Amino acid sequence: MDLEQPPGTLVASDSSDRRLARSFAGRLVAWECRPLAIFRIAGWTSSCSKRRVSSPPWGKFSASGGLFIGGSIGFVLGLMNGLFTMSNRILDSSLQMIRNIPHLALIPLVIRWFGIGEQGKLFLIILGVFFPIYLNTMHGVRSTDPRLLEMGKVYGLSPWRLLTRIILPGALPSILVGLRYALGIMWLTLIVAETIASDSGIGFMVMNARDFLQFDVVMFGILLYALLGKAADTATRGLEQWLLRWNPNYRHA
Amino acid sequence: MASTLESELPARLNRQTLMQTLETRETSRPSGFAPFLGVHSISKRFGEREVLHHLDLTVQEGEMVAIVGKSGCGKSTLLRLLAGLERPTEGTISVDCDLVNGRNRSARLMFQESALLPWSTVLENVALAAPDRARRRESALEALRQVGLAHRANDWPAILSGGQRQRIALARALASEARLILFDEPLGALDALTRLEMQNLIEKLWQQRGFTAILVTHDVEEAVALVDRVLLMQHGEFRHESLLSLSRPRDRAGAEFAALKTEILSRVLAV
Repeated sequence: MDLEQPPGTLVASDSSDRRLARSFAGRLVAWECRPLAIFRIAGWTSSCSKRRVSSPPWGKFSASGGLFIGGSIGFVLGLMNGLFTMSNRILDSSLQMIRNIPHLALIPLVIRWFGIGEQGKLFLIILGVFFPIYLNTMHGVRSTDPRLLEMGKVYGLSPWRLLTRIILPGALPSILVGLRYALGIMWLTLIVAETIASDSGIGFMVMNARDFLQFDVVMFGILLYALLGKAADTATRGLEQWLLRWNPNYRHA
Repeated sequence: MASTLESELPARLNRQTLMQTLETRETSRPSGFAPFLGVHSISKRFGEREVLHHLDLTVQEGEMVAIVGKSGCGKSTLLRLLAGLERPTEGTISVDCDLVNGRNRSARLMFQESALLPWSTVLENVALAAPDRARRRESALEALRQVGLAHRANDWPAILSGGQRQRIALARALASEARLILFDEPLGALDALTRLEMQNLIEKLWQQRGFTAILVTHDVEEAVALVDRVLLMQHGEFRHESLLSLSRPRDRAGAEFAALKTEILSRVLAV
């Protein structure tokens, strides 16, 4: 089957036997014959429609790109507000206010601002992953062991070395928890955004398939999400185990 | 031959007398004329509560002094002031006649808990504050050898025992070429055997490296075993001073040792 041209009329006229024959397994085999297409889906570049509007190349990686951009902003602001009372006083309450708006509630506005496409997805993901990373970084920085900080001061460490040798490593377990949360939110946002406000991606493929009653494709899309989510989580856990190998609690996790 | 030089002190320790006593007394280590560390009439208040009350103290370079007293008498606060972690409300602290303003650069504080960085290996921990950047590793290894833990250089602190961690904290102070090491009950959390080992190690390193040490402890035996001078503190003031001139290594089973220990202990308990 060619997914790029959803054979709507064909499916509708199919007998139930033929639809059964086009079972999930058969579908998978057909997909396996198209490694390139699978590859493209995994990279969020697959398009289910030939009339896809051309998007800028950076938009094709809206999931990882959004995670990186949103995570970086969250990390920097969390670090600042964790370290400096002043910036915390100025910024934190405003940020908490924005946090209380469910970012998916912005979809109508996002469609209005960015239209249907990668930019809106990117925007929503940045907004979604920002908060878990921001909050956990700030919490990690604030809960630095005061005895270690005192030791650093007695030993005359410079502010930069205090940050890199004591504060950041101490905040790392917390930051990684934030990262795992952020990954969850990233998938959620991606699915919703692709389903509602997009013209490409797995969500769009699934929605298209639903319109044409291709529930094997729907199942495949959901499975794909599960697999990608699992892969991302495994990668983060690996990162955790390596970065926190000094901590006996993580050694055999 | 042991002799104890005592002087009942009124509310305030007379610095002039103390200086004269220091200059005339016999110590196991020769010391120069100018005091290394000078504490001049410092007070510390936290809000309404006065923790230290016009304290004076002079310590010669290479001397080991113990401050004993019941908990809450202000011993630890004095050490934190000496380390420069806190500022005195009144009075000054000087090192080599230079006033200490902010951090005391020559001082290192050793806490009851070792305060090692759990995410750095033993070697990285020791090398943390070695002054010579190019030779950090070598000086750290050298310090680890001196505390007898060179073979654990690449381990994480989490897998070491409490005594080993304290030895590493000591190596860290040595590697940073501290001239003044402030011990804040560093052996308080250790078992009796490890304590003895650590006391011997501290004494050995003190003799080898010649740093100045101020030991805050509630263990009178530890004080008598290690130091030249015991200061008794109560309610933020020094109430009594004992100069010990037992020969080293000190014989803990000896009669003089026991007599000194009993005497100081009775004073601690009496005040």
